[in-house]
Formats: sequence, C-alpha cells, structure tokens
Amino acid sequence: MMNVLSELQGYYSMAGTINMDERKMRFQKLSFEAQEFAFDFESLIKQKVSLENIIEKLGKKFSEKDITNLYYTYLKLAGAVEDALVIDEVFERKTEYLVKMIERERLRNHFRKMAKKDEGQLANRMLANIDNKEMQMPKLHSLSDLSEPEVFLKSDKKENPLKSIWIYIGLLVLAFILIYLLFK
Amino acid sequence: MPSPLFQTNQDYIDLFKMDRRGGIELIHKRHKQYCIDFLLQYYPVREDIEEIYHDGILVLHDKLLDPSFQLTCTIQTYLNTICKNQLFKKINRQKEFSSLSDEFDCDDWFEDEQTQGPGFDRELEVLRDELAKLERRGSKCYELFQLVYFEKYSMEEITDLLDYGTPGNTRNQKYRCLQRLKEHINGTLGRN
Repeated sequence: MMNVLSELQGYYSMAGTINMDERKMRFQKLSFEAQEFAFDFESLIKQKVSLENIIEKLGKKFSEKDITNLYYTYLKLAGAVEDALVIDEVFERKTEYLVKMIERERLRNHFRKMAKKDEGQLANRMLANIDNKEMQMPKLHSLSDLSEPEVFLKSDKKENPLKSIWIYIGLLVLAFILIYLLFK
Repeated sequence: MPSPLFQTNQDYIDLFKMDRRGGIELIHKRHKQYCIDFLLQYYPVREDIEEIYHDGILVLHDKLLDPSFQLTCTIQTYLNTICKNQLFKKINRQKEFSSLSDEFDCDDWFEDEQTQGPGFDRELEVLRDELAKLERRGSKCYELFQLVYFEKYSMEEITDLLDYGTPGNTRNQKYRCLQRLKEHINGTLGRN
C-alpha cells in the first residue's frame, strides 16, 4: 500500500513541471490503485474537506504522515500553498532527532540525580544503623568520666576492741559445747 | 492492572503504559543493582558502568514505545545483555560466545545515535540551540514535539493531554510549530 502514495508523491512532485498532455499520459501509467486513490483524494480537496477529515476518510490503509505529505505536495502543485509553508520531511526528521537527543540527556541527568539521592539515603541509613547499635550497647564510660581510682586507705574510724573478744569467747563456748556433746 | 508487587515483566510494562515516567523510573531502580554487579565482573569502573546502564534504560524506553517490539526474556536479562554488549564495544572486547544455544543475545542500542543522526550541518547546530532554548523556556511547542517525537503519543492522546480539542487541531498546531521554527532557523541562517 505504501507504493500507492509513493507513486502519487512522485507524480504530484513533477506534475507542475510538465504540460497537461504529458501529465495525462503519466497519470495513465500510474497503477489502478494509485489512480483510484488520486480520484478520491482530489475530489475531497476540491470539496474543501479539511486535512483531518481527508485522513479520517482515506487513512485506514495509509499512515497519517504520508497522507499529510501528499496533501501538501498536491497543494503546492495546485498553487494553493506557498513554498515556505510546506514543511519538508528533512526538517521534521532533524527536529525529531534533536528532540530525542535532548530528552535522552534530560532523562540521563534525572537518573544520575536518582543515583546520587539513593547513595545519600543509603549512607544515611548506614549511619542511622550505626547510631542505633551504639544506643543498644551498654554505655562505656570514657576515661574522663572515671573518678579518681579509689584508694583503700586505712579508715580513721576506730573499731570497737571488745567486739572481737566477744566473738572469740562465743566461738570457744560453742567449741566446748560440741566437745561435751561428743564425749557425753 | 499491574500487581502491586511488580514481579513480572508484564507488571512493569503495564505500569509503563499507564505512567511512562513512573514506570521507567521503577524499572531503573529495580534492575539497577543486579545489572551493575553483573557488569562489574567485566570492567571495574563503576561510574562508566552506571552511564551504560542509564543508556540501557533509555534503549528499553524507546523499545517499549515501539508496538512491534516483543520482549522474549525478562527485563533484567534484556538489560544485562544489551549493556554488556555495549560495554564490550566500548572497551574493544570481543563478544563472548556461549555454548548454550538458548542463551539470550541482543544487540539493541540507539539506532539514530549509532549512525550519528542525519549528518551534522549548520542548520542542525542552529536548530539544536533553538530547541534547547524552547525546552528551557517551557515552550508549548517544545512540549508538543516532546510528546510526538520522544514519547510517541498518538494525536488523540496528545489532544487530551494538552487540551487541544480535536486531533485535527493538534496536528495543525504541530505543523504551525514546525513552520515557526523553520522560519526562525532560516532567519538565523540568513536564508530568504
């Protein structure tokens, strides 16, 4: 089906440079499908049907882009559109290419920012984990926290001397009782 | 509807269809670590590998917008494979051929960037600068171009997104934007 529009594209492109007789002759040489399409296409244009409606009516088998290109080529032939208003395909392809390049670079930059953000979040999570572990561990006193080591100094308090004597006497009595009970 | 757990290819693809930016971001996040770790086996510079991974995601983005594209493996395998092939090209390393006949292989990458686009010329340079200005300014024309050429939305979808009324209006708007752009470029280049 693409050949039909290519045929017509070629025909309309050069039709403006040849006389009517030659144009008729060349038209006869187009394929039947191309002639049929041209008849419907040119009828719609003569009825001043908009491009949108032409595409709707004829666009079931052909791409919108190809019909649009053919439309502008025909209008150029018919003298209805000045040259400057025809958007050439080459320019549109360049625009398409550059828009893709710009958008790809925008997405790349976005991915790079995402990667940096993820790294930052990972670092924060790691730090948070370290902090959590520190909180769970028993606190170790730092050296500065320690008071001066306690030195066991002799107490100034005087012990009661009788206390020891009474303990010894008590133990002796106990010992005598035990011996008495053993040898009774 | 994608499952909230996003476990299968179809879940990710369904999300991408509903929300292209959100979908591609999620695919990027979920498949990144494994792909990077996989590529680090072959090349030690993580930054270079991350750049290749970002481009791999962009390739996948373009492919998912192509109605004729069919994914015949998991997204992870696809990304690993295309990124590995691209890495090998960058480091001039021969592709490894496996004895496994069913191992997935794929050379997908940016077709237009590989062929360096339509050929560099003065018009292209001026056009690039002008489009960049339009993008920075938040121009409606640029937004339209972005939806048509990069996101590949249909005229009907763009009509709804930009509230142009009918697809015919949208189409006319696109051609008017191209026309204005071309006249501006011709003016800059000193053409009549």
